[in-house]
Amino acid sequence: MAAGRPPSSDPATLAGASDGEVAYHALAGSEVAAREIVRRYERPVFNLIDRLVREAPVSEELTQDAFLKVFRKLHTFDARQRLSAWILRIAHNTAIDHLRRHRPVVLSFDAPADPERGALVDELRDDKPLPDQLLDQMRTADAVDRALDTLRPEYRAVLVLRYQEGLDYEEIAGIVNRPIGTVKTFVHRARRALARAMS
Amino acid sequence: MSRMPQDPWADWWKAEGTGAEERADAALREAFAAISRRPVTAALHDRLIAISGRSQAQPSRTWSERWVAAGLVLGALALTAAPLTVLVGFVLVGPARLLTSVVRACVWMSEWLNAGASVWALLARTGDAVGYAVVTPAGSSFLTVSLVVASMALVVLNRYLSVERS
Repeated sequence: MAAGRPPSSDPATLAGASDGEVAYHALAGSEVAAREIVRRYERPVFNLIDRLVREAPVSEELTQDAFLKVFRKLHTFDARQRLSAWILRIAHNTAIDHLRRHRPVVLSFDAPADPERGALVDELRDDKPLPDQLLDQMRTADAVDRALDTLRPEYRAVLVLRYQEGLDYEEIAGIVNRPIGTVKTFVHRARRALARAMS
Repeated sequence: MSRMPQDPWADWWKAEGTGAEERADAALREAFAAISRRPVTAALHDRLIAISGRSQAQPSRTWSERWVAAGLVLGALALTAAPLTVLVGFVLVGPARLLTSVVRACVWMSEWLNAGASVWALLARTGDAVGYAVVTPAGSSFLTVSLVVASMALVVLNRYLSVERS
């Protein structure tokens, strides 16, 4: 682990230890520390991968792959970074690699699915006017959940990282390997796309 | 979900509509807290814990990979340096003498091998031809460049294959 610092916590009680200390102990061979890493990050890692992949069995498999990489590459972790950002970057890359290999069909709200028809958002607007009851339903979190699934994977990733995991732009840029300006643009466009999907 | 003004979705919706970036950002963060996440199953948790236990083998694995990488680099350097010995020979003993020696060696070897099985004869003739090609400046330059490129490819492959294995 680059720039590792000596641990100040007892390896047996790592619940309150910092990420750097947990990584330090895990690299030193502590099973408790390795389990602590799993405990802390299994949910965000699975959530990010699942948001991108949307197939539970595949998401589980990729989550395992991501943690395998985390433990195998732990010695390359720089303690000056945030462990969460480092682990999420591995998770993001694992999911993106999978998507590149399998090239999912993504519905676009901007471009028409069928050239002879209008854009999907127009279809929704034209065919399904929003009565009061439907508006109620679409304001629920479930509706947002479904709308999220229609966004491009890049947009889903930045929305999840920004609004579910609470990361700042700089951390997201490190995870998705894009400049901060691009990430801000992605977040802005993703929000717009989400709003359009729900309108 | 309620329709009260403090509803974060309504807040976000309103802020997004009016272009209030910061308010939309804050409201959406609050609203996202209500989105369901697929839970991590007990089976997946158990598998991840098992993976974390296997991570204890990491140091020896790292060392073995380092030894493989070091061996590859040393082998590549040796192969790259081999043709250079010809050039060094040119400088130390003179080109004429070196060429004569190499040619004689090839001829002797070729004769010795000719006395044996025909496979050896074939190898001797091949070696003879390669020897002649290598001692030319163009031949040794080509060989050196090829070896350097091949060595670099091996090192890069070794680096990326370890990523693939993970």
